[in-house]
Amino acid sequence: MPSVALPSLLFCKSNADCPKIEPEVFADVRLTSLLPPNTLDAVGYILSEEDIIARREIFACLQDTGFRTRLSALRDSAEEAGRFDDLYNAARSDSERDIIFVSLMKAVLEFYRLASVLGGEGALLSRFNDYFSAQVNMSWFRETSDSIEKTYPLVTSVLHNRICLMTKGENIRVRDKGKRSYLSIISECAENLGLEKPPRQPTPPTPLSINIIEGIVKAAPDEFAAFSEFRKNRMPFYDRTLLSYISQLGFYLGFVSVFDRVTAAGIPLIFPVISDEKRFEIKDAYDITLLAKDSLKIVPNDVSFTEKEPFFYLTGANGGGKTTYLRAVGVATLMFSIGCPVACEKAELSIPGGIFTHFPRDERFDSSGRFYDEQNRVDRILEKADERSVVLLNETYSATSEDRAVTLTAALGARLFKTGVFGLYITHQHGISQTKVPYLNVVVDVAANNRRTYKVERRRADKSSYARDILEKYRLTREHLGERFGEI
Amino acid sequence: MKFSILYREPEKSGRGEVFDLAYELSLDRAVRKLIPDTRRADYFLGVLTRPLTDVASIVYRQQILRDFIDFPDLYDELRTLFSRYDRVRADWQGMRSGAHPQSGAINRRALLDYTFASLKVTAMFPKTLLSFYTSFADAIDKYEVQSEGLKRIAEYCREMLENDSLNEIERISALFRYKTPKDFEFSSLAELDQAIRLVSCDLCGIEEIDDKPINPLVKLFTRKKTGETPVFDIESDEATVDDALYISNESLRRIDAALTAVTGGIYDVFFGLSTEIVFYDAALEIIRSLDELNIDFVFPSVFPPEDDGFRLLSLRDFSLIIEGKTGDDIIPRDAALMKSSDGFLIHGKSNTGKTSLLRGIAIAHIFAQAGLPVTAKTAELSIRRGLYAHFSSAEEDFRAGDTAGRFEGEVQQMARIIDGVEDHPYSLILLNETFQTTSYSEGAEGMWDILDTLHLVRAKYIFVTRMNKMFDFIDRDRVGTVEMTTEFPRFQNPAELSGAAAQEHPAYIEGKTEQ
Repeated sequence: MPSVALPSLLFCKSNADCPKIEPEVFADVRLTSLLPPNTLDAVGYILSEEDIIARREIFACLQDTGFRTRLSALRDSAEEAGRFDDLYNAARSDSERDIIFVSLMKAVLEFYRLASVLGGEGALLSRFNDYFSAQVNMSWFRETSDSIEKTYPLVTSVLHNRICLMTKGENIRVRDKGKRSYLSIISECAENLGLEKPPRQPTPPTPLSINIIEGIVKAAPDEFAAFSEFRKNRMPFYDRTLLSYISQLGFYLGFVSVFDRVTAAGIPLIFPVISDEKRFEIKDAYDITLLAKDSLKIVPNDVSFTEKEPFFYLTGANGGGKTTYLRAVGVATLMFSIGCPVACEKAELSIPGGIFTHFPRDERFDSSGRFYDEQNRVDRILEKADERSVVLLNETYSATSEDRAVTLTAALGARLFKTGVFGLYITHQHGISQTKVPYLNVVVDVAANNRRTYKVERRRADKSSYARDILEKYRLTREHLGERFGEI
Repeated sequence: MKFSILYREPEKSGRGEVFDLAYELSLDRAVRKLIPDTRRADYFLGVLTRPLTDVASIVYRQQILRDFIDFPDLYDELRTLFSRYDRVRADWQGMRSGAHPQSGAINRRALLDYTFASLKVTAMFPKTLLSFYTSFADAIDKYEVQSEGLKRIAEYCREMLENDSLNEIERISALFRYKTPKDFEFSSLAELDQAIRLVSCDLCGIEEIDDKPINPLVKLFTRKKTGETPVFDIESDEATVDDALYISNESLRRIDAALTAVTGGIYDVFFGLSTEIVFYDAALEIIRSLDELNIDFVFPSVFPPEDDGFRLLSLRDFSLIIEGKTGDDIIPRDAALMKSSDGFLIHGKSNTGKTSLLRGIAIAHIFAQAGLPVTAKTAELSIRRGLYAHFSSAEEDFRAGDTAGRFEGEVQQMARIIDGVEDHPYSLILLNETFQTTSYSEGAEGMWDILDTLHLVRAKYIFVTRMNKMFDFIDRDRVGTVEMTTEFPRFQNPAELSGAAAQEHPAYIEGKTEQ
């Protein structure tokens, strides 16, 4: 019988002690835009050093094409088992369950076989390989395999053009075996006449009524008896937790497809040094989510948070790259924390205790208004964040009056700075004074008509946000609108 | 498989390139004078300007035309049959759309009735097609046709009438021609997926329901057929009723689709002949007119492109019909071009028939490669993969645009011709006073530079010119000259031949003209 606990490909031990990462964090930094769906299902945790290293080992194995192919096949096999599991759970009668179970176990055994020859090196893979190699040599596996060899052909024989349904108006009868179909005769005739075979018209899979199913069972009693016997005998060997490998394998394969895009764009990918001390240093961090917009050139920036200056306001010209910089920091932190390589030249990072973000959201009809929504979220962050956390805020408190926003922004920034979280706070509130929180600013080239350079520097911003340039381009200044509407 | 009465192998037939010729040669005007019906004239010209480029295809068309000339009743009968045949598809589609249920929500029962009604329409057509095959074969068999094309049609039809597969399709179709779904029990083979969901159902039996009560003694003593498996009744509920109707509908729909596809494929074999016969309609009209106008014509002997030459005796310019001339008015000319010659120049005084000779040669090639007779007494031509002409005209200005000027317009035209001959070896270029829109010496030099290179792409030329300097440039071992010496009145003296053409071809008739 299979072991109760299948070996995880994500965690060396349990994830019970791992800090959780809220799904909205991944959405805020737009990592979800690059990844296939469900890639992040299994990864909402900040890992221990042991787990980070273990996952890196698997990513290293994925550099080998053969291993990647085998892992893909294993994922496909898990998904196939998942599909049959869904069908099994949706079945309305024992007869349906009996026949579906045969296909389900066939897919499960195929998974075991593929898993036993997966190969690769590292803590997680060694454990995985050992487990499944042992399982395929056990008696339950051999017996189940033999049983499928006898039973599965019966499935195909019942399902494919054998059962004859005889309809007379609203009545129906069933028999085993019918004559050759007219369609097959017509196809043969077409071929003999030198014509193309008529295309087979698709029919969407249609569930039949329970009565018809029972009629089919009567028409093929021996086969269904065999299916029932198989299910009775083999059900104890079906470990449904196997299906968790769908998301586990999906994680690796989903990220690997992103890494392919990153390296194809000429962007470096490295595994940061894991620092035992509190540290956050990145040279040339890239916001790889811009690849989802097919951006031609992504401008990298350095990131440095220290004990003395752990937290910054980030200000500067509209369209200057503030949010991009914020995302670069967020993506790097997340990727590092879940065991993935980071898009940068060099990095040394300590494992955070928590990762928190606040990006602007649309008003929801069911919320009490945007400001209150913001306040609630900020409160939750303040509740959980500590000096080991990373906090990234994007124009928090932009949904209230300017005076109030300045006060709240100053208070929040000061509090986070004092707590010692690493992080950034994008704000347009230029009225903040008397603050210990240092500033970063996006650089514009004043000599070149305020061209955005997308570089971030350590200095306080000018009072202006260069919003007027953008308004001029689209002829939305007071003068253009006046001319257009005849006011002036 | 597709039959055509224009193309021996419809999918494979190559077509040559003809460059604005219908207009340049006034061929379109001549055709429209003889064929007033615009649709027929346009179709005919369309076929003319896509010349055939292999001997077998040309002979194929010649033979069919000869059969239509020899057997006018056959022509009339086939024209009627082809027209009726081509209307069948439109009738069929009209009947199918008429089977659609009226507007409103369609329930399963109504859908089943509609599907069966549509299938009944489809089921009629194999029978219809078989009856046409009988008609085609009977019509052709009444006459001793010589053409490969018509013989093949008849042979094909006879074979198809005996064809087991077609007859099997007809037999299956016959099952659905009458009555309604409630008169039958349908048997369908079910294809199920691994969750026992129906993914397809194909009809394998249809039995008419006999509602008469069965005598129990008869039932008792009726033997079950060997190999028959037991049949199980299904308890009826709403879901089962729905499924029963669905299964019937799906099975019938699938077979309707299959029969439609196959019947359509069989139908397409002869579809379109009513359009193609328009060409012969026009051809016969032209031949009748040539007869009436006392203009000689002959089916030419056609040779592969590599033979690269032609010989036309007593050639008449077809386009002079526009001027109302008859055979007695049009002077016949002789013309020949040998393989070893690059081409020839035609010169002479005004109104001596230079342009007419050029046109006559061009039209002879076009007609020959359309499978038509040529207005000559003898015609032997090799196939030209491209036929190009330039007739200098005042419209160059218009074509070239305000700033280009006439000469630039001519140069643009020549450039197009050169592009064409490059892609079509064994082309023939016919030029009428080209490049005379600039100084003659410059024009001659420019033209000679072009003509002298044409042999590199195996193109030949015939050039009517007044640029005397051309004759200083040419290599008379490779280029022939023709001097048209007739002075006004122009129906007097024949053309004289000189140079390589006369020397190389002893059979060439020099200076001979029909009086």
